[in-house]
Amino acid sequence: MNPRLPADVMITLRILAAFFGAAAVIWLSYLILEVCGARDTMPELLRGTSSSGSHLNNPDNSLAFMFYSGGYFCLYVAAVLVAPVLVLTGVFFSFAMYFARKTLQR
Amino acid sequence: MLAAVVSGFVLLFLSILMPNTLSPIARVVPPLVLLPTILLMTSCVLWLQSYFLPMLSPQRNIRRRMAEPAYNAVGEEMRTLRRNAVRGAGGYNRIPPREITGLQKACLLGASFLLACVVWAFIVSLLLQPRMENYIWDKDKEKARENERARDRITSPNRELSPGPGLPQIPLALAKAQMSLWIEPATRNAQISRMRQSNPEWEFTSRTFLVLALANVALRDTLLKPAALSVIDTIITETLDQERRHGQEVFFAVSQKGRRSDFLNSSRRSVFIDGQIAMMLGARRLVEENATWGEEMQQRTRLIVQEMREGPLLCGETYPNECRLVDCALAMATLRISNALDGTDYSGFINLWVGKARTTLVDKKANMLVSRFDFTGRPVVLEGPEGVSIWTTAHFLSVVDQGFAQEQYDNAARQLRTNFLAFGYSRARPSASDYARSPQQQQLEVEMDGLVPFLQASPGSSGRALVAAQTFGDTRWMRQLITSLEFLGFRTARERMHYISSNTTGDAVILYALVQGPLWEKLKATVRPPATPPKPPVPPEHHPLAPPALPPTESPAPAPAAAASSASPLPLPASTTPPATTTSTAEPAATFAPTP
Repeated sequence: MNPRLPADVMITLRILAAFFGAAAVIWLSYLILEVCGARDTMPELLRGTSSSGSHLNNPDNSLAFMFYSGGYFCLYVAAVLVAPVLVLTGVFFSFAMYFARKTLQR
Repeated sequence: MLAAVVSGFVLLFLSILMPNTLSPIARVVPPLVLLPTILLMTSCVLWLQSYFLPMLSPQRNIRRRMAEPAYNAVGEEMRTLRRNAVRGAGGYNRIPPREITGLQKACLLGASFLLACVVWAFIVSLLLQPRMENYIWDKDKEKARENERARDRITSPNRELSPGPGLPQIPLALAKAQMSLWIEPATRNAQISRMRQSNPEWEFTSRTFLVLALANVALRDTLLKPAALSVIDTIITETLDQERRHGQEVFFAVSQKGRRSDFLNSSRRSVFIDGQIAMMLGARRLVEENATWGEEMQQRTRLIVQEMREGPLLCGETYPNECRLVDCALAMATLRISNALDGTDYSGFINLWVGKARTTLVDKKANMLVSRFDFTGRPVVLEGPEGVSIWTTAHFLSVVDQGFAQEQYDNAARQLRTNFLAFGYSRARPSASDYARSPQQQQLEVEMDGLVPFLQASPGSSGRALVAAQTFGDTRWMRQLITSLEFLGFRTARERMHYISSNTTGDAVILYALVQGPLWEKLKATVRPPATPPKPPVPPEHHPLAPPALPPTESPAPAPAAAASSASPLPLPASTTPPATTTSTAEPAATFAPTP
């Protein structure tokens, strides 16, 4: 990173890095769980929809399992619906800030 | 660093608690992979912090950077300002630049977030939109292809014609996967026992939907027809065998086991079992006639009529003192098939049943048919309108009374059809209903139906909604439902194509929703036409070949079957009118044309 960059550019880059970083954490975590095969736990997580019994009554579905499986599900949804919104927000916000500062300084 | 270590320990702790249902790899790999990843991420954040957030970075870093010439334009500016201030009045009096306030930043951030949401919603709806030609039949394209085939047949009659139109990509793979389950006995038994452990009733329903789906597949894809018929026969044989050996109770829900003697109808039978078996037989026979299955189906339809006529509301019992409307609607569709295939005339009974259902079984507030009620004349409603029931009922009613079915679908769609962005889903129950539920009941329903909190989305109801949407040509919602299915169903083709979030019943329902159409079309086409009134005799003076002196002919007597149906709205008791007799008497209208 060139420290001689103008302050406006630096601020823009910071904003972009923050939002991209947050999205990257979501994507990376999701990818790790995907590689670990957490997708295969979905039938167990959604047992309530596929049998007459509730998953809460199933001794196999401990809290840890729910955390693992539910975490994967949340990350899956977040990776598709939340992370891209974060990236776009970062892009829009950084440009908005840049132009707002320019306008105010003029 | 501290965060990384804590996260690593938490993960290790969780992996120890992880149940045995997970593979060892799944238990060990997350901590092993996540720990270095978190370390990496932490160091990245620290690096970013020292570069992008100098105010938060350590003092020595700041001093080091400040020593560099022109480290920061802002710093330079501040230094200039400070210098000017020291110079006092004699110096150049410069106005400091205006900075953005916190409120302005928050507004900009909020506006950016909203804009991002709108843009991403638009992109998501485009990206996740399924290619419908991979899922469902495109009638227009198929018509064009059929015309092309017909042209080929005329222009080059000796050329080998391509096989039938074939199935779209996804249902084809799903059909093959589900057929393979029934072809191999080992997988079949494993599948049956697994499903039966969770719910035998659902396992039985999955058979019906799979048979219906495969019947449609056989009618649509001529190459798959022999295999599909073979699997259908296997399913029917196995089902009848199970019923013969263990009785109907083998397919009952676990809570209803051992209650056969509590049935209130004289035959102690369930219209749920008889109806679905008759439906399987009827679907099989609509594809290709089979004498053995014909006799079996005739017996079943007689039993169904007998069970239903005993009910004060013409509804048979699903379980002791419990009638389910969806089973009655399915039974009615079966009678309709029987009319078409065996020449029986249950239309009077069907009309009477529809009339009863309209007047007594419709929830006044929701204007939708209720789901469950008891076996009495003034029914105690056990469960009001509900998604799974209403969508399936509307689907089967579409071959019984199209107008009533459409009306029910429209009402259900108005109250249950929902979408979020590009994702469509069905709610479990309408918000307004005559039959309020207790909080305990609602809690139980949330657990049983797997409702998605806040959205009140029901996966089971959404699956059946797929069937109904396709039946009633609701293409837009169908697309939205498929989008949800693809997003949350986790389709995989690793061993065989199926939806990970679903089970055998769900897969069969999805397959049926995607391939349905030809079976009902054939049913409508094969329906025995009502006896048409004879044409009036042509006046002799206008008829060029008429003999000069013909005596005036009398109007012929109607066919016995037609006469019976017109005289009384109800057919004779099923036991006294065997279908064979009805078939032999209900000859085509041409037989009764006036004889010269």
